[in-house]
Amino acid sequence: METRFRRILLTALMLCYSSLLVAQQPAADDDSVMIEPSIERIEFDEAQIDTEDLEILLMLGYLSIEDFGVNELLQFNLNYHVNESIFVQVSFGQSDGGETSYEIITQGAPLLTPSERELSYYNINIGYNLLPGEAFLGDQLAHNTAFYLSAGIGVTEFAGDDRFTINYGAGYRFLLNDATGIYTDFRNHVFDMDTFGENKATNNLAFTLGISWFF
Amino acid sequence: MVLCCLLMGMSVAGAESEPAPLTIADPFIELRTGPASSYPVFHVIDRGEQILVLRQKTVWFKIRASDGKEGWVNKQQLQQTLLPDGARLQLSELQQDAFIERNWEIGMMTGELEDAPVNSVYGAYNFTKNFATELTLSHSTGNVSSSTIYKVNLMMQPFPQWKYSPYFSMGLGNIDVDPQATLINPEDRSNQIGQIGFGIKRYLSRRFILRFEFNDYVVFSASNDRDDNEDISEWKLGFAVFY
Repeated sequence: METRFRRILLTALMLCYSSLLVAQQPAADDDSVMIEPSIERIEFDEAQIDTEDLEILLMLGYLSIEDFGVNELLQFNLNYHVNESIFVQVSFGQSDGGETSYEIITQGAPLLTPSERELSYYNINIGYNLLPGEAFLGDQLAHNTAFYLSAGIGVTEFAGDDRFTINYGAGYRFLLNDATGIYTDFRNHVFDMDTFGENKATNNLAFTLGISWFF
Repeated sequence: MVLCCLLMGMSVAGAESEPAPLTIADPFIELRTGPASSYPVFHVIDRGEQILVLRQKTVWFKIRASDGKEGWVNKQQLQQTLLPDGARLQLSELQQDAFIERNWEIGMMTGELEDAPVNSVYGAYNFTKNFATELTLSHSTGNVSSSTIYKVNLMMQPFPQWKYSPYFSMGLGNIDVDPQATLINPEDRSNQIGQIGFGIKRYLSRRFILRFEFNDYVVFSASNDRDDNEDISEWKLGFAVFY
């Protein structure tokens, strides 16, 4: 009996409360209409600004491997522009060693297996935009450019071994627009080789042309 | 009706991708031809005029003036502009606090592992201000062999607020040793390793950290042929970016 009374009482109370809510609803709407501003407000959101400090590069060119001829080189770079002058760079490259003069003349047994002839490397470099500037195409177009220097360390895998490598070089960056650039780069990769008995430092020159995208 | 809704949605999305115009509060701001202080100033925009921010490279912002001229303004000058509601623009400035509160850290280091050059890359996740876990891949090239180390470790940074903040680490991993091809009897080896280390992190600016560390590894190489475990040490210097 007691629970039934309680239930009826509660139901009545709920009904009263909900009708009150319904009665209040339109009043609240009227208020909001009165203070609604007629101008649409545009917020400035910093996250909307397109930040372009990272740059990916695809480079093609030639690598002269000491004693193993000149061969095609494919290289990928990822640049991070720390400030207007300095950038850090990670690069991966791949090429193939040709035949040595000895192998060509004697027509004897090859010194390296085909897989040992594959050359690949990675480098971590620091670059400096030494001469930022502008290049003018005709009297209407101006393009931002930079002559940069960069150097770093890495590892080259060639002739079956990993070889500690230092590399240094210079290049020219020509920006087609704010997001795309054209590169030309000249670089020396120095690593030790002991394949022919004595251990000697080899200088391996690379010339590459590339295209880059900022993102 | 559906088409109408779609069009409206598109126009709203279009409006959202365009950042709000800013009003110049300084007597004037200078527009440069490129994103560096060495590029010449070619135009000035007077107080009261409105500009749109188009893109950012390092601390330089490309803006478009109401007359359509586009050029690069540095961050300091852009901070002197007003938002649509009249408040001064506050661009986020990463400070030491951001370093303390960081979640992710990616970096590279270089140094020496037992007199042989070593390079490594790492990624770290910070659980709290003091504790982090880190995954490191190192590659070392010596005169007689090259080795690859994979390790996972737990790091403790007791005083993240210090300018030179020390940390301690303990980890486990694996070392693969690949002897030079010119050796007579090359023998590839793979052993488990244990590591303890300490180092110092220094917050530089924006998202950059400088880091120096010293590690001691125990290579669990004891076997029937070899009596003792090997003990090797390593120092590395590097930098990292955090998010």
